[in-house]
Amino acid sequence: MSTKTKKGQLEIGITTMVLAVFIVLLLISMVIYFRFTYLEFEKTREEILDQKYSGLLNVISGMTEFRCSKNGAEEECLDASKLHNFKQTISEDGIENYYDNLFGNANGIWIEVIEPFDENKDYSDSDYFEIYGEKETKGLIYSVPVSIYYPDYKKYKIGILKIQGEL
Amino acid sequence: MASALDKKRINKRGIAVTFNWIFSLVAGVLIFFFLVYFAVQNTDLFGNVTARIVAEELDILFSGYETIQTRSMLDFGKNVELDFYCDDSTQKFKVNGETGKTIWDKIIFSPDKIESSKINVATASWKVPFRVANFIYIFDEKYNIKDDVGINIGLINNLKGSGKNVLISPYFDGKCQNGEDGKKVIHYNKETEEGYVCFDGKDDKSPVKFFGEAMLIGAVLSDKDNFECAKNKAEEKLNIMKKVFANKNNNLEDTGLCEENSLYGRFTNKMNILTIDLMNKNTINSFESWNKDLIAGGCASVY
Repeated sequence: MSTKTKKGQLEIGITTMVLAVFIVLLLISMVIYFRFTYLEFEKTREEILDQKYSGLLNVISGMTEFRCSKNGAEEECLDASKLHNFKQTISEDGIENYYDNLFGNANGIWIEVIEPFDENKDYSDSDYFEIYGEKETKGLIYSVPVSIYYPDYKKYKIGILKIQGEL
Repeated sequence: MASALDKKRINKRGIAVTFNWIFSLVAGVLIFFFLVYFAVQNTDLFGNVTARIVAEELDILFSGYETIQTRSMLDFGKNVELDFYCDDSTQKFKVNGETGKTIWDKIIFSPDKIESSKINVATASWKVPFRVANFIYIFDEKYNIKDDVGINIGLINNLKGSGKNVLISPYFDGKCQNGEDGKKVIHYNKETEEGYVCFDGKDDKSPVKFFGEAMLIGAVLSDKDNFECAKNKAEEKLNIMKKVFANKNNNLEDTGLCEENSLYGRFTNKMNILTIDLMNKNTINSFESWNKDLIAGGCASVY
């Protein structure tokens, strides 16, 4: 074999190696790039959901569906007589969709009553009110203390509004 | 045995091979850093992601407005284009023409298109006489309002200026009258709070009925599709509130603590037939009167 052919083969080999190294680096870069982009999306999604759940606590406390009122004037409390059986009331077609969209990714929303009544044999005996989804499933729990008003007993109790959702 | 000349040649070739490796590594590392830089700087390809994030954040912001009465201004720092539109009876909006975000639970009155760096947001409660929802108003311009009715609503006074023509005219029996052809006329009765909007002026054959001051504000600044969409959402929310109050009335009746128990049933029956088109001051007065009777009788009020 001539010297020129050997030199040519060597150069082809070098070029192939350079291309191989280049392609490997390019692939690594692509993987890192897409992983970085994916992590960025995930982070943004988690931030938005976190904001959404925290905001939802305030929204629920102010929703006319739950808020208590006396003679047309709303007060800073939730009405126990509206909360009782609320989940069953909204379980109809159409209405349920409305709350699916409103509460979004939340797995469960409920209110726990601290020291409920226990002898009236009516809605006031409930130690918790289910609003949406299932209680104690999975995900982080966001909570806020609320005042619960029992209109016909004219009494207030302390409750904890809880939202469980996955980030 | 290799001569001194051959050894020199081999060394040169060795240097050339090493140089190629160093070159490819340097080029590769440079490209690698360029791509990482590109990833950091350009994760938001064509503004699509930003538009989506802005849409999500606006949605969260609007959720906060749903339960409070407020007036504020959103300053985006640069021009933002918001398109509000109605798709299959569902309100949606786009930010800078990108990604339609569905507004599921909020009732928003706005023009079809808003293009500004500063956007005004205000809310008002819609009461019939119990609060059904808070309406959210989004606008970026003033309106040339000619008021023949003598409306005194703060937000409407704030909307007055030079801009699109809106005539607020006394209430007639369901027919569009007065004003100019093609220009919005709102017929409104201040006493009964009933009204209807003629979006195409005096010759409009299909006026849209509304009830209450909160809807009147919406009628001033909304275009037809958005107004009808928001009205449908308000009707939907009204139907939900009927069920909420029916449930409350049942719970209150069950305790047996109220001697005027029959009033709860009367409330529920009257609410069940309530629609925006059928709403009038007599119905509202009945609710108010029954609510007062309940309180006077030592019972819990419905609202």
